[in-house]
Amino acid sequence: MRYEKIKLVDENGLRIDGRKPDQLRPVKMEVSVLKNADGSAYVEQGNTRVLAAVYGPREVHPKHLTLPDRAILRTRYHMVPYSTDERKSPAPTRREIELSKVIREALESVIFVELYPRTTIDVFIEVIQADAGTRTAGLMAASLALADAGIPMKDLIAAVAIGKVDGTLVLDINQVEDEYGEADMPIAMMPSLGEIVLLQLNGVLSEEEFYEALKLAQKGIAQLYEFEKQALMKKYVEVKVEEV
Amino acid sequence: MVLQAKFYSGKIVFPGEKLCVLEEFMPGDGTFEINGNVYSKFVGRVLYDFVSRKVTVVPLKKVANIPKQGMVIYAVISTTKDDVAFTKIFGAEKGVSFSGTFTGILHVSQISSNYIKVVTDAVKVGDIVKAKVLTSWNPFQLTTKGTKLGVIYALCSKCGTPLIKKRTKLQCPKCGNVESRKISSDYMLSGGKRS
Amino acid sequence: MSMTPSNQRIVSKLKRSSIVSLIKKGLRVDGRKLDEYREITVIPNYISKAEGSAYAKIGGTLVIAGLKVGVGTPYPDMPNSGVITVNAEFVPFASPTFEPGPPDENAIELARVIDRSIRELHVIDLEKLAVVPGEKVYILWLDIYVFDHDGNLLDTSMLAAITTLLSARIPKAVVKENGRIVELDKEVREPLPIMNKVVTVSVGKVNDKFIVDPNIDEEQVLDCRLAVSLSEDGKIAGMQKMGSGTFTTEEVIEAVKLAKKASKTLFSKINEALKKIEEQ
Repeated sequence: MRYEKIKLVDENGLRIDGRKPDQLRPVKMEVSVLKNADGSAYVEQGNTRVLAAVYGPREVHPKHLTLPDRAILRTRYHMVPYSTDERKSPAPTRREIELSKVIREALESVIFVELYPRTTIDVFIEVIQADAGTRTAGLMAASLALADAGIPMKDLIAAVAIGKVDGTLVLDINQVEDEYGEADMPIAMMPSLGEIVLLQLNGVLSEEEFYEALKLAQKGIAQLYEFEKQALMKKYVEVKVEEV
Repeated sequence: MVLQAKFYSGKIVFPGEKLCVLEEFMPGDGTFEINGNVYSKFVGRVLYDFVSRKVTVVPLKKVANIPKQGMVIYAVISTTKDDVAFTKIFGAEKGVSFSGTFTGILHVSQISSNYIKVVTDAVKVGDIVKAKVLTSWNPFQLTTKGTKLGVIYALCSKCGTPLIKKRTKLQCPKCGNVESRKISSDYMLSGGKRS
Repeated sequence: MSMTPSNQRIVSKLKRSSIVSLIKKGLRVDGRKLDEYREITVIPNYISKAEGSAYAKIGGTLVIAGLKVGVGTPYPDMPNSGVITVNAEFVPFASPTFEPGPPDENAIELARVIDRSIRELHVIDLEKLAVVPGEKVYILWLDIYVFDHDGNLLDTSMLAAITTLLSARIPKAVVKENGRIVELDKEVREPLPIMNKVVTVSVGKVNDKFIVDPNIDEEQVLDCRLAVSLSEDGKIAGMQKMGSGTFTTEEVIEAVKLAKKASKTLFSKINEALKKIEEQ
């Protein structure tokens, strides 16, 4: 229950799951996990597990939705009913509708949409287990899936949620920290170009804390970017062995 | 060779990875340029061409494709009218595949260099045609003019058996029905055996 | 499923390029400075039937927010707190691109950004809204209606929402039969337990310049925008990057600074309007 206060950062500065404030949860990433989709990826961050798949560029139905000079982008962020503590209705919630929108807007600046006029690129994100940071994990999975689908991109996307718990800024929050913490700031960047594609803040931060949080996020994003590259590399190295 | 060490071809690069600055190499296929820096668009192997001073990235996996002008594609006829046939483009030469199908339009005037009165004299619903893309717009305009282009697989309109090529006509091996088509020289079934 | 919008308003290429080139020079099509708001009108208590309401107009954008109050059971995870629900609707006649039907993703995003800012900054002390803790609490429905769209819906909506809450007079809850029945006494009215004030400032990015309060034509040429919710003492109470472009870290910092500066205009307008009704 919310009113019993939990201590989220102990006297040694360690967090509830034993991590340091600037430490990520264990990450696992895998590319090309689904057979049918043009591109797919699986991302695991602690207990958060997300699958993403990409279809396209393909023909748009109904036709009047097409744009003459670029591809349209359609994204769906969805949490499956068994992903949360209480069953979540499979119907899209207001939260999912909003997240689908911010994720789409993040992806629009990454894909070279103008190369595929009058088509659609469909990105589907399914959260199969939710433990905070699902939109950031979902966005990373989506960017890996897009790379896997061979869609030309400006950059990969690496994303992480910064939290403020017991007055301390922490990297990559988990569910307990999200629920009891004072702030939650998901941020997604194109790591090599240094551009922010998604930024939300849910909570109260002073201006200085916000700048500090941005710095902390960049640190986490640099690490996650390496994981993403490894995941892609691993897949292609395996493919090479098969060819021989 | 000391100079080349920085630009080592064959290295695996990722989208957004900086390859060089514009003064060193011009951006080629699979790359893009922002503020004088050249980056990769794909996961692929980088190729620095020291002769033409061009950098390209060869994708490691397939590239997302849509039909393009000049591409030779395979399509199945979905509906026909007197003057136009609607097709579904499902693939292209050299193993190029698409995500789903794209609509292609084959106008009666683009079927053959000979005069064709109605579309159904040359193609029928269910036929698979090899055609060339004329426009880069969806719906894509197609042409089957040329010996290599045209129907490559057709079914008998009476009994549904695959038709076999007999000189300039197609014949049904089961019911003997003879049909006319704009046949491609690459028609798949001839002389009773699959070629 | 979220989709790239295909029914965008059409702005002439000429107008587009003139907006961009003017902003590059530090000027705007309507003669404003880059960090200047359009004319702001705030009228609290605009609808007398509602427990709280406000009419807010920034430039041509018109938003009317209203608060209705009821009593109900609290959420099981927060049994000692009142409930506030924020809903936003874009009325079809507000813009040729709006269509009838349930709120679309833009309306939902707007409502959720406002909801989060109000909740996280503890604008209302929700714990004081518990009538019988664990059993009966106040339920506040804050409905934001957009009637005319001339750009910057978010700032206008937040202005209407916060003025509504600040000026609301809610009926007193009367507990009967040992807390089993709670009735609202409409004759006795009291203000909401307000703890903070919040406004949202949308900062738009055009190439490397930043503008505050984009109008509808400027919205079409923005690369993207950052909505920053700020408290009166300058704390950041929420943030949302909107639109498909990107920001660098330095640009975000610049945008936040600009938003903080511009938020003073909004707060002074709110305080002015509230003072006026108090005098009456």
